[in-house]
This record gives sequence, C-alpha cells and structure tokens, in this order.
Amino acid sequence: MKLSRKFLNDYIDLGAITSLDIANKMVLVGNEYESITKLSNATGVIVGHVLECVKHPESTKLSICKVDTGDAIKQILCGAPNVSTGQKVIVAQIGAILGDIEIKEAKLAGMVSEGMICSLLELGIESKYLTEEDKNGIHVLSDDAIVGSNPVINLNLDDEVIDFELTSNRGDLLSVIGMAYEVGAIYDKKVNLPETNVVMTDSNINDTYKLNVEINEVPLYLAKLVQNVTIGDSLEHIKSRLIASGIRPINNVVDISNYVMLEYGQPLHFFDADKLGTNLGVRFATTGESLTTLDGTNRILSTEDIVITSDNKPVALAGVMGGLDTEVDLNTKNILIESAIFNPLNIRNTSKRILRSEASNRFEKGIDPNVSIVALNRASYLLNQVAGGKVLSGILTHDTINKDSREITVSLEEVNRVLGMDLVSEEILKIFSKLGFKASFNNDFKVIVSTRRLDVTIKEDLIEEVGRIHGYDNLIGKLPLVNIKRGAYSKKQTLVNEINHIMTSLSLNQVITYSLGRDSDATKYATQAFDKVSVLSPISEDKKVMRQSLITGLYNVYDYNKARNTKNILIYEVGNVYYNNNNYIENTHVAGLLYGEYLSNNWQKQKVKVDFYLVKGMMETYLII
Amino acid sequence: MKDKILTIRTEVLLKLDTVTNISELNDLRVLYLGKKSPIQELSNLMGSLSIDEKREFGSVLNTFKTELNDLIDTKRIKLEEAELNKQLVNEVIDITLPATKLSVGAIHPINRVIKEIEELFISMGYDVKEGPEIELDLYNFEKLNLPKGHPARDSQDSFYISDEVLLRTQTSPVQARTMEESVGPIRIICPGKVYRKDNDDATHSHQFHQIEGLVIDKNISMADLKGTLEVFAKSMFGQERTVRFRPSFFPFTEPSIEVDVSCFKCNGKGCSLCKNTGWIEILGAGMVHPNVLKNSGYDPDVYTGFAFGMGPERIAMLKYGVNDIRHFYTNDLRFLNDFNRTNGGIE
Repeated sequence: MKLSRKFLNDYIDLGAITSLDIANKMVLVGNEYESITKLSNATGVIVGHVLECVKHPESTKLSICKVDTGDAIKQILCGAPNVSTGQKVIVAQIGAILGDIEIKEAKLAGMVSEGMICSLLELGIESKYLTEEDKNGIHVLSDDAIVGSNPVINLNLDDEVIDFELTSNRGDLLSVIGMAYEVGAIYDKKVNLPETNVVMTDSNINDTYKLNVEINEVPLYLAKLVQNVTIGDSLEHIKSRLIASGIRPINNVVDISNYVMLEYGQPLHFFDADKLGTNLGVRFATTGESLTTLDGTNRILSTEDIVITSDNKPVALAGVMGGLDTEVDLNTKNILIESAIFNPLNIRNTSKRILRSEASNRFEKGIDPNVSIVALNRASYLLNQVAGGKVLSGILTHDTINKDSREITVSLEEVNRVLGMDLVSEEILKIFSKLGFKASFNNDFKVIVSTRRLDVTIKEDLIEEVGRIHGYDNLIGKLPLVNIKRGAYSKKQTLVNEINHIMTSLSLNQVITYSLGRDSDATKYATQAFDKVSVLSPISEDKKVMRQSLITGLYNVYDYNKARNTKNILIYEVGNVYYNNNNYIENTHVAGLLYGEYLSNNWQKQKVKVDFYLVKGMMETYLII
Repeated sequence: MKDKILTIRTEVLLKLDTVTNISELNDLRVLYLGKKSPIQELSNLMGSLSIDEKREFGSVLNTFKTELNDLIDTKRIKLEEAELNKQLVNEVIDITLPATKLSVGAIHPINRVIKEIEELFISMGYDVKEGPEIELDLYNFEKLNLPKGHPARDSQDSFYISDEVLLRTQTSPVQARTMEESVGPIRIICPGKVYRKDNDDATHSHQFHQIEGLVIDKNISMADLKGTLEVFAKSMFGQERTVRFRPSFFPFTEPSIEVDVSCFKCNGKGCSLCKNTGWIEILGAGMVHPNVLKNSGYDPDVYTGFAFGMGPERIAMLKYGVNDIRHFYTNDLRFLNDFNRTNGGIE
C-alpha cells in the first residue's frame, strides 16, 4: 500500500512530523515499509509563459522559444511537438536537478538554450500514470498558472510516498483513513473524517430501479444514482494523490471511484446508467456465461463467480472488474454507484483465476460493513462537487449484514500473563483510547471494538493490540520457569548423527540435493517397485516427481563438479526417498558416490584409487554401527 | 686330556672372532656344546677314569664349559647390538618429505547450522522432533488456524499431491502433531525440509529448511520468548547481540512478532548488510494462538505457549556471508569444503 503523505495529512494533523519518523514508528507497531520516495524530486523548476515559438531554421524537431519566467525572458530550445506560443509551461532553469541530471546552458544546432521546458516524465512521474498527450510532449499548465511560481507545488507533486508492506490481516490499512487511525494511535492524534453531506433531488432511485440479490454471498449491496455529470479533467490534488497511491488518473468521474476507494477502503463501481436497464440483480454466473470486462477481454465465467446483472444479463464481475458495455465514457451523463460487500472467498477464487485488482484485494481482506454507505455518500458528494452531478435521494438497498461492534472482555491479569509485562489498568485504558476502542475497567476490561478492525475478534487480539502499541522495546526477557529435563535426539536422529560422523571420517563430503526431480529419474536406482509421488501442478518438468533413490541427485552433483575440473569427488547424502504404497511412505536412505583418488602421496608415487574393494571396506565399516 | 681341551679352546676362540651373525653363533654353540660336540665326547670319557682323575679333569672341563658359554653369550650381545644399530641406520626417515594426503569430509553448511541450533536447544531441555514431509493439508494449514481460502495461504504457494495432501510448506505441522499426541508441558524443536512453489533465484528456493520451536506450559509469556531468543541470538551471532521484537501477523500465533538481531557486522550502527537500520530480521515468532491450542486438545485458559520458526539457509547466509541460496543445493565441493574448518565470518 502506497501511502501519500499529503493524502494522509488530509485526515490527520501531524504538523512537522517527518515521513521517516512516521514510517519508522509504523514498523514498531507492525507495519513494515519498503521505501520512502518523493513523488517528484525536481528542483529549480518554475512556471514560464511561452511568448514566442518559432521553428529552428536548421532542425526539423527543435523550436526556439522566448519564455517569460517572471524575472527574465529566456531563450529555450524545445524538441516537443506540442509546444506553442501562449502556453504556460514548466521550465527547468540553469542549475535545476531533474533526477540525476543537472540542467546546464547548452548549444543545440548552433543556438543557445537557457534551460529546458519539461514533461511530467522529466519531473519524475512514471509514464504509466500519464495521458497520451503527456507521454509524447511537454506538460501544458492551465492558463491561470502564475508565472514564476513553483509548478511542483501547483501540481501537488511535492509529496512523499511511504510504500508499506502490510500483513494480510490488516485490510483496514488498505485505506488512507485506516492509516490515519493507525498513525493516530501512535501519536495520539484525532482523525478528521471527510465531508459526505450532499443536497439531494426530490426523485428517488427506488422509484425507478429494482434490485434482486439472489445469493447469501452478497450480504450488502447499495446503489445511488447521480445524474447530469460533466466529464472533464480531475482536480490536480485528486490526480496527484491517485498517482502517489499507484493509480492512473482517467477523468473527473472515474477518478472519484478510485479516490473514495483509497479514502475508505471500500471499492466502488460506477455504471453508465444509460447503458443499464432498471432491473438489477446479483447472482452466480451460469455455466457457459461470459462477460467482456473493462480491459476488453472476454472472460468465460464459472459458477462460483458472482455477477451483477441488468435484466438478467451480466454487466459486471462482482468485486473484480466492471463490464465494457456499461463503462463510463466521455459521453456519460448519469452514474449508478455501486457500494457492496461480497464474500471474500468467492472474490478470492474469482480473482485468482481471472485478475487481481485493487478492488479484489480489498474485498478479499474484508470490508467494514459500516463504511459502505459512508463511501457511497462520499462518492455522491464528490460527483456533485467535482462533476456537477445531481444526486437522487434514496439508496437502492439489499442489506442482511451484521453491523454491530464487537464487545470483548479481558482481564488485567490475562494481559500481563501473556505479555510478561507489568502494566496497570490506566495504561491499558489509554492504549484502547488511542486505538479508538471504547473501553471500561471494572475487574475486567470491557472493550467495544469498532467494525473498522475486523481482525480484532478475541481477547488475544486485544492483548496483541496492547503489546504492540505499548511497544516490546521495554519488555525484559527472562527464561521460562519450567521443570528441568534433559533434551534429547530420537534414536533415529542419533543414528543419523553417527552415520554422518563415520561418513565424514571416511573423507566423504555431505551434500543436500532436491527431493523433486524428473519423472524419468524418479524410479531409476529405486530398490523396490512402488508408485511414484507426483505434484499436481509442477513449476517445471525437472521438479515434478519425488525421488525414490538418492543416486540421481549424487550423479547430478558429480556432473556439476566434474564439469568444474574437480579431480576427486567423494560425496554422500542422508535423505528421504518417497513412495506411494497405498499410504505415502518416507524412508531415510544413505547413499555415496566416489570418484578419482581416495588417498595419494605424490612424492612416493603412491595412491589409493577408488575401486570396488575400497567401497566394500567402507560398507563394512559403516555396517559396524 | 688337558691338552685336548686347550686345543679346542684355541680353536673356539679363533672361530668366535670370525662369527658375524646370530645364526653362525648358534651353529658354533651347537658345534662345541651340542650332543655330538668334542666337549660332550670328552665328558663321555669321564666314566673310564679313576676317582682322582675324575675330580681333577671334571673340574677343568666344567670351568671350560662355563667359560665357553660366557664367551658365546658376550658375543651374542655384541652381535645383537650390532644388528640393532644396523637396522636403525637403515630406517632413518626424512620427516620433511610430503605426507600422504588425508581428508575429513565436511558436513553440509545447512546441517552444520541445524546441528548447532539443535545442540543449543537440547541443552535447554528441548527434544528434537521430526515429522513427515508429505503432509496433510489438515496439519500443514487447518489445525494451524489457516482454513481453506485464508489469504495468508497466498504467501505459501504449495506443491499439492492431491486435494488433501501436499509437500509441507513449513515445519509447523510437527507442532500440531506433537501437541495432539502429548498431554502437559512440551519443549521441542523441529528441523526439516519444506517446499514452496517458488522459482529458484538468489533468494528463493523451492526446497529449503526450517527449524520450528515450541514451548507449552502453564504461565509462558512473551518475556520468556524474548529471553529464550536472546540466548539463541547471542549463541549464534555473538555475545554482544540484542534482539528486537516487531509486531507482525501469523495465523497460528497471537500476538505475533518478527524478531530482529542487532547487526553483527556494524554493531547496530547501520551498514549495507542491515540496510542502514542496525537490525537484521532472523525469525518469526509469537504466542501460540488459542485456536491452535484448542485444535490439538490443549485448554488455552490453562496452558499458554510460544512458538518460533527460522530458516537455517537465511542464518547460514548471514553467518557465512553467502549471497545466493542456490549455492546450498548445487553442492560445489569447493564451496562445501570451505565450511570444514571455519565457524564463519563471525567471531
């Protein structure tokens, strides 16, 4: 999960606390991070106004521009096809640093260039986030951009991104608000939730639309209708927050569905309502049914895939991807917003087979049942604010989900017994309060855990919360008070230890080879004829069947070392071989391979070459044990 | 007769001088003192003599016999000494010449690490337990609080043999099996091979090893876990090491932690090995999840326990500075022999 610092700041006031400090404190409460990067690390860039732009007389690609940068008018040569007079552009001045490059005064085709007009690529934004126009040329700023100001700040690109590697139980942290609660617990700060109240029209969605959810695997399905939106460009702060979060901006409407998903962790789907009927349904796909998804791929569906239907025809693959036929496009006017909760197991199986998406990842990890309606309202609010949409009243609703907070009881003694700490009730109550759990203490702690934290279900989970927020740094290690007893190897392990002792004393080197091998090798050198043990879907032909003898492995080691001009190869392995004889059987074998000279004395021209009698002698030695 | 003795004496003395070895000396002894020797012949004549003659001649003959025996014995000692000296001269060796080459085989580095860890924990009263590599989904996942469809199964992509049977992805099923067959306190470590469906590269291997530890008793806490792992870290990585607990998530433990050891290369100051954090992650651990206890017949209100799991490959790579996990399975003899003397790069 890529966390934009500016996005985080929208919901929690962290003042001057550095992103590095936040990241390192997050590690100590269990959230590892991979990196902290600047969204753009360009310096020395400034907004300029192209006063004049003429073609270079001796170059087909270059243009000669006169650019007003506020305090001076500079001559800048530009190779981009889209540069023209009157544009507001990003100018990298002499001395500017773009990535690893420092901008210097240069001569291009005989003309001096006092800087460079930049594309977003040159500001450090990856091309996968850019529009076709931005990929192929310089970035043109809006006309109201102020000459001489800092475009990195204007474009909201002065952001930092902490790339977290989250554990699979923390679905709540796949949202910026969830992150804000977590960071808030560390710094004891309050979370400020975004605006969701919107004025609605008199017409009600339920007067037109009907919803029929046929299956228990969809306990919550909500939809709202927003009419007369105007498709256009997104606001810069929305675009930059999406890019920082790893999502490509598309347009003001589509971006809102992603923006709200990032805010709350509730994936939304926007249908073009005019491409949809009014009889909506939710059911399993039938055998042979197919759907062309947003990416243009025709997907053959299975009976465990949940689909959204319009007049019983699939229009979206629930929780994974929408259908192409009902996609929001540049002419879309009316939007049906879906906010739903699907059974994580079904989404997991479908997405594993078809496609892993930002949405499926969140559905798999679980959605707060109290947040679906908030996210729906938030999206309606933003469509109204950003795209001028009129929000109809009412919510198309199917709701069988339990939205109650959990009450968990744990005693002070239990907390201290498991953690091995000596906390008092006030400290623990303070930790619960930082986490946003309502708690009281009267012999036992009674803790109300919000549905935001689906992972906290039993008292041990609460104990872990106390431990991780209190911090394990202060935990003083001790050795367990247990009855004294002698630890030991089993008889077989003792025998194996003895075998190793003898084999290495006889100059053999121990090797470890792979248990999985080629089908054709598995029973070669096997001592008994039993069925093979094969893996169902191997990663390759040479790791397919479990060995029935160690000898193929030893031959492989011989080949490897022989190819490297090793003269004498004296090796052995102790390892299991595997059969299927009604039951799966694992037997421990010992095998050796000897090649070359066993003993030698060059001075006296004496040597003992490996031969049958040497090996026979070894076997006799080995059999003594 | 006296004259005869004198003649024989002169003869013997002359011959004794010419004797050069023990065998000739024996011949000489037989010749002059044997049954058919001239001296024996003289003795045989004694019967025909008068009493006075017997007394006189007997005395002379005995004196001569004694003298002759002494002479031969003296000569024998001289000869023996001479032979020994000759032998010693012949057997002089030049100890500076090259020796016959002998070698002791090396134990594989992974097994060296495993052995070292086993011996440490045996000394703290742990038994070493093993379990099957071809394992039931039931023990590998379900009894460990990882029901089918659990997202955490993603990180352990498995080689299935059939719907319910797989190559174990971890050594934790040995915990579940041991708990199921035990009552009361447990202290075990479980080393062994595990398999995951990963493509082999510098940091991944489809086959690797794990060592699992489990302690179950009344009143086991996180502090006991920390103390135990401190002993482990100091023993494996040096006495100055400290450990750090970081909260984490594993389905079979609650609370769960990851354990870092202070960097043994830079002593926690920050270097390339520890990616400038001063800490190196070495294992995962936690308090046994109550569901895992229940699934194997332990009452979580009576018993608590801790469990930890580590990768000997990772520890060997850190300890011996090995940068590619595949080296452990290609078995280059030059690589394997490097581990014969050394205890690795750590003092």
